[in-house]
Amino acid sequence: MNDSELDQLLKDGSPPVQVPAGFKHDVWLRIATAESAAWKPCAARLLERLLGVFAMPPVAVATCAAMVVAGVWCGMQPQKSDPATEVAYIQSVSPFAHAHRR
Amino acid sequence: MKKGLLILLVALVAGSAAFWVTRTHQQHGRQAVLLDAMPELAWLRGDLRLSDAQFAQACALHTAYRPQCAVMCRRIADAHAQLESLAQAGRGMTPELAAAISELARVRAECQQKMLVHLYQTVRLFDDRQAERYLEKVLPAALEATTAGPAACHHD
Repeated sequence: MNDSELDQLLKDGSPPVQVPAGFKHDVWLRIATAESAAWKPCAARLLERLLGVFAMPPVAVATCAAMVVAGVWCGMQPQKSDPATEVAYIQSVSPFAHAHRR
Repeated sequence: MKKGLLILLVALVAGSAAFWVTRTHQQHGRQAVLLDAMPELAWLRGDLRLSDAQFAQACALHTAYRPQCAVMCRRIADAHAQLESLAQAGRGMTPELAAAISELARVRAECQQKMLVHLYQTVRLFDDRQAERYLEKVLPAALEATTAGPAACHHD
């Protein structure tokens, strides 16, 4: 049996099936959705593991302490000086303060 | 998982509270300065991070200097007004105009010297780092002062 005879035999042997309109599109859509959703369980597992670490008492205490220390450190950092106050000082000591020209 | 999330939230809240308390405490110190009669000194305390003792001495020097500065300011303004008046009269380079030019230059130089004396008196109160910062910020204005236009009396 050559190839063309086999093709004809397979064609004749296939039962006539009525597929709904958009069948192919739906199939490809489901494949694409399944692929894009594959990372979600992975991320969820990672997040769960990470939060599980925070739930351990020593880690929990260390995290809270670190956040408090970071908060105090940030709070103690000098704020960027306001240029207006610098100018105000310079003008207050300068008899040449021309910014207030009459 | 929920416990871990809760702990993370508690840590964030604790950190934020610590930041807020520290910053509020610092702000309170600054507001005390601003409530003072000389708000222009807020920069000295805030930027140079002066101690209470340094700040008190700087305030005393500044208070003593203010009336002198006001007098100098007035003298510069008067000398400039005199020069302007003679120049606008349009009678050419008269001896009076030449004298007015010289007088303004003399007054400006004298005022600049007095201003520098005050700045150097103030800088003696500071440590090296503060002094460097102070001079870096204030000296350019003091040295370029005489090239500026006529003075205005900002102490009025």
